Amino acid sequence: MITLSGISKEFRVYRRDAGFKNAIRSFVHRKVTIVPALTDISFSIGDGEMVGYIGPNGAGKSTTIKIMCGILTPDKGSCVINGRTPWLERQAHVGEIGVVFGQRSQLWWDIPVGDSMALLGDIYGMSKPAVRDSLDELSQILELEDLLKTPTRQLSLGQRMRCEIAAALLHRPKTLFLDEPTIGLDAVSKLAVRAFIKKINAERGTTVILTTHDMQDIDALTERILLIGKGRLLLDGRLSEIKQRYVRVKSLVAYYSGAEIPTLPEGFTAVASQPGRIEVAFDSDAIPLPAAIRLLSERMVLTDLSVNETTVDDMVVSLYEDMRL
Amino acid sequence: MRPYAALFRIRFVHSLQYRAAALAGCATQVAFGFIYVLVFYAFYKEGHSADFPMEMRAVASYTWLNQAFLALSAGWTFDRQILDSIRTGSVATELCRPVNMYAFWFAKSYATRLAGATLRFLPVLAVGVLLPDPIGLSAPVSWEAFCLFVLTLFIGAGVMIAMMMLVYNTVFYTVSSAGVTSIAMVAFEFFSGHLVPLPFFPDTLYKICSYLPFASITNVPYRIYAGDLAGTEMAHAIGLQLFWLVSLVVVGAIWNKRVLRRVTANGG
Repeated sequence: MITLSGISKEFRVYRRDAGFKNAIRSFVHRKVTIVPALTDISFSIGDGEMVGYIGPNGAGKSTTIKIMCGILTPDKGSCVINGRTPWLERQAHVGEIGVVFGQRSQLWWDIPVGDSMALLGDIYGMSKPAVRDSLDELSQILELEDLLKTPTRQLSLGQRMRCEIAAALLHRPKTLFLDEPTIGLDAVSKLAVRAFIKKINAERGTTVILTTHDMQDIDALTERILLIGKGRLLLDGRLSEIKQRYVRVKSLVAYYSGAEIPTLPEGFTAVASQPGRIEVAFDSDAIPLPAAIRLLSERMVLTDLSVNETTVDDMVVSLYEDMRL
Repeated sequence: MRPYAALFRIRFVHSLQYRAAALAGCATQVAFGFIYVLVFYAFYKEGHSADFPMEMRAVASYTWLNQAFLALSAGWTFDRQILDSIRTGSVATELCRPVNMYAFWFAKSYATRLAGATLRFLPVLAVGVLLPDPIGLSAPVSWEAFCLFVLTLFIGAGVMIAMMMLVYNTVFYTVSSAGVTSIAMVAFEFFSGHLVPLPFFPDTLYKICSYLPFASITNVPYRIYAGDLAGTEMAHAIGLQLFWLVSLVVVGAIWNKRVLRRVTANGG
């Protein structure tokens, strides 16, 4: 159980204009700007939930994650995770969480992954058989066997990320924080990582909190999303509900037989037209999809039809626009 | 203690793999040993032995031990991994582990240094032993002196690392470690007796220096071995070593806790 209420955090930033003169001026007198990183963030997440934490760059996602991991101390507010305040009881708290920072490595650079795992087992106070069991289970799902003997520095990014996730899960944490876990991964590795996260959530009941810029991650993994922008929590809801609100039929692509270009019914406009294929746009609020298909089929001999919907990416763009981010 | 022991073990084992560095280190240390010993020998031949605060034989033993165990007591090898992790913010991932940061870094530094010394000390000592009497490494003055030498060598390395931990703490404020490490390096080299054994300093300076924590590092163990530090003066020096070890660790650990509170991890 994770409960945040009224979390706020400010950063001090030293600013100066570019140029030699300004550099000298700021040497004598530094201008300090207080930048609010988080303002009054409150939410709660139940056990076993998978939550996507999204927002544009600089919105405060990583800051929130770092507060929940006990690395940063907020200026105001309270945060209780599994009955503990992370920054006050850091050592006890981090024993029950797993963290993957996509842009940083938690494995020791110059030693084989297997040794890193053994060391992590010792750090988390696990018995030797417990380490072996957990590692067996993880390496089966993530196909790690061959990687365990390789030093971390010689792994590819995709291989490393699989090892990072295994390292974060070795001690069977109750909560897993993933900060951009698929950053820089190819399509195959991305799918593998997603499948794995899903499996862990289902099998171990691990609570997963995920930040990402990859909307397919969100689409594939989470049911609930938290949207944050400029340090404020803007939206907290089911992905399906938000989709209903933002996902629209954009256009229909109709394939027809015959050489003649069909005339379109009222309310339809052609976006692109080639012989045998026409893409039409219409207002899906005014004309429901089944009616639109019927109207089109009256004007042409349809051979095939496809529907273009707004993607989750488009949805987030319109969300960001609505929230003026 | 288990996580720290495990880290110590793994660091130790893996530092042993840097064989080329160890070979180069041995060659360098032997060369420096010759330079120091021969410079001192030249002075001793020209002057009256009564003018010197230590016997030539003791100075030679001191020099060879100093070169052999340099990895343990060198004040200019800071742990780059720790410094970089603070600068780049990857200290954040280390904070996600259920360990005391201070103890973790301490164990890591100690293991790296001990592994370095393990690989280097035998060849350098062998060269010292093979050299003729006044410029070579003599046998320890007694069994007790030898045991106390080993003990104080380890305590001294602890004092040294405890002082370096203070340096690491300051990097949280300054971000760049260049300034503070270069000051610290000179201080370690000069006040520990690495450049010139402390008894060669003018009387007042020697008195002051022998109370500083730096004296625990090179000064105490090697002079005990050579029999130059004995009796009540030795007991006093060992007491001081223990005092510095405990107080520096306590101050460093508390400061480290405070400094971690103000961590801000930059970017991403």
